[in-house]
Amino acid sequence: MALPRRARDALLLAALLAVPALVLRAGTRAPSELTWVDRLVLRGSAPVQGVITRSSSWVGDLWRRYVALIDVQQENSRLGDENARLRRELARAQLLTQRAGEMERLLGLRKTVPSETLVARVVGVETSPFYRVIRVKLDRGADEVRPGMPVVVSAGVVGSVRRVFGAYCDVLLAVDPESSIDVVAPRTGAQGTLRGIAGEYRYRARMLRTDEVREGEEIVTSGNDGTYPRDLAIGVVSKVVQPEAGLWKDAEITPSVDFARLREVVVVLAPPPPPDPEAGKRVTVPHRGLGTPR
Amino acid sequence: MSPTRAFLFCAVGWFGLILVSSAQAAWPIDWPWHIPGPDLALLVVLYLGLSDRGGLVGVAVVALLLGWLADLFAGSPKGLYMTVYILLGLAARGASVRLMVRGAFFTAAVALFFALAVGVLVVGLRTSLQPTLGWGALRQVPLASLMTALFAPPLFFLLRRLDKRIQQGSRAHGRAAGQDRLA
Repeated sequence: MALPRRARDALLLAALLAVPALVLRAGTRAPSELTWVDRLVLRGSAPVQGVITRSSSWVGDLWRRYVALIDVQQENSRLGDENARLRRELARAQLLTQRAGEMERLLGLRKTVPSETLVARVVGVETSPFYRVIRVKLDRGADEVRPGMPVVVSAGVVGSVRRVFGAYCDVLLAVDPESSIDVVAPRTGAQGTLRGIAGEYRYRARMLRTDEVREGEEIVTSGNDGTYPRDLAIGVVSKVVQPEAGLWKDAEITPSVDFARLREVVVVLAPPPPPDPEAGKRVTVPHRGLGTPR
Repeated sequence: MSPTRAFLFCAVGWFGLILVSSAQAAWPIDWPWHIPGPDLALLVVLYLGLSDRGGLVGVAVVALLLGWLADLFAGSPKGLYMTVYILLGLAARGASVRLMVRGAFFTAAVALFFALAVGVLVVGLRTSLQPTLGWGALRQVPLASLMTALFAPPLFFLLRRLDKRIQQGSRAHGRAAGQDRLA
């Protein structure tokens, strides 16, 4: 006897509802157990899942690496700006350190120079290729500065004041051909007159042909010109031109001062004491008793 | 319901489970937010229940199979989703007498309602079987249901197209069989 369709469906539905209930009851007691059908389905699904997961990851990576790069670009821009700012600050700190060192050396120089000095800041360099002039700003004591006063740094002689206007003055550099400085080679005592070589940042010292001077020898101011204090560094002899005949010979001198990097200079206000014309000639006789020296 | 239709819809549900599972696995772990995936198998059962094709038993069989697959993929006790999906299929079939689900918004709304019901049912059944788990999982039900509802309109659209293909195929097969008989 065949069951009516409705009854058959009802029975089937009841069975279908009973199956999960029974499975659920069993599954709750042993949740880790899998039948061979379960394993078959899961094993069949796993490779497909792997492929899709890899594809999804690839798409995700693509998104993060390329599409989402707009954020990276912004971050990169921000970091670039920050890096540039830090570089600027670092450069500024390095410059300040360098200036502090220069100031320290200038301070040391002011102590060694036996005259009153003024510190001046370089504010400009020559605009004409035919002159070696710098412009400096005097922080104070502008009315004390006169043309011809020597200008020095710790490394050596810079030049002399050419003209003064207000708180500023132009300094004729020692490497200008117009400049003239009496120099001496301390090792041999050979003296000469120093002038700049036109178009170059070097000097030429004219000395007696018989005076001994050699390459690598240090040259300093002699103090005989009444402008520069003695023993200020000038430079090192780089070449000696020894003529076959004549009274003079020339020695090319590389300056000890880096004229391209001048920042602060010292103006020597008081001229050095005039050289004693009797120096080396007068014989001092030690007196004895209460007698006066002769 | 023809075996072909049942098989194809089971295949779609199975593929949906794999797709969501893979997408969840591939979700970047460094992303600050994590959203639950949609329950595509639930939507397949819902579609079958709401469509006027196929008998009640057929819907229940597909729901049973998809529930079984859902249990396997979810790691839940076997029979949990089977039970819930069968109930869902029957409820949807019951609702289909009064509901004419058309339009994306209405489809999403109906899906949201059933998804919420399924979520509550799953959590309820789970807690009744294992009381120590508590009801805390109910907090995730709204967002998960919303995600499922959002995916309902496009999936229903695809399933309708699949249904049309199946119908066209069966009609062509029927015509060919009829011509053979006539010949």
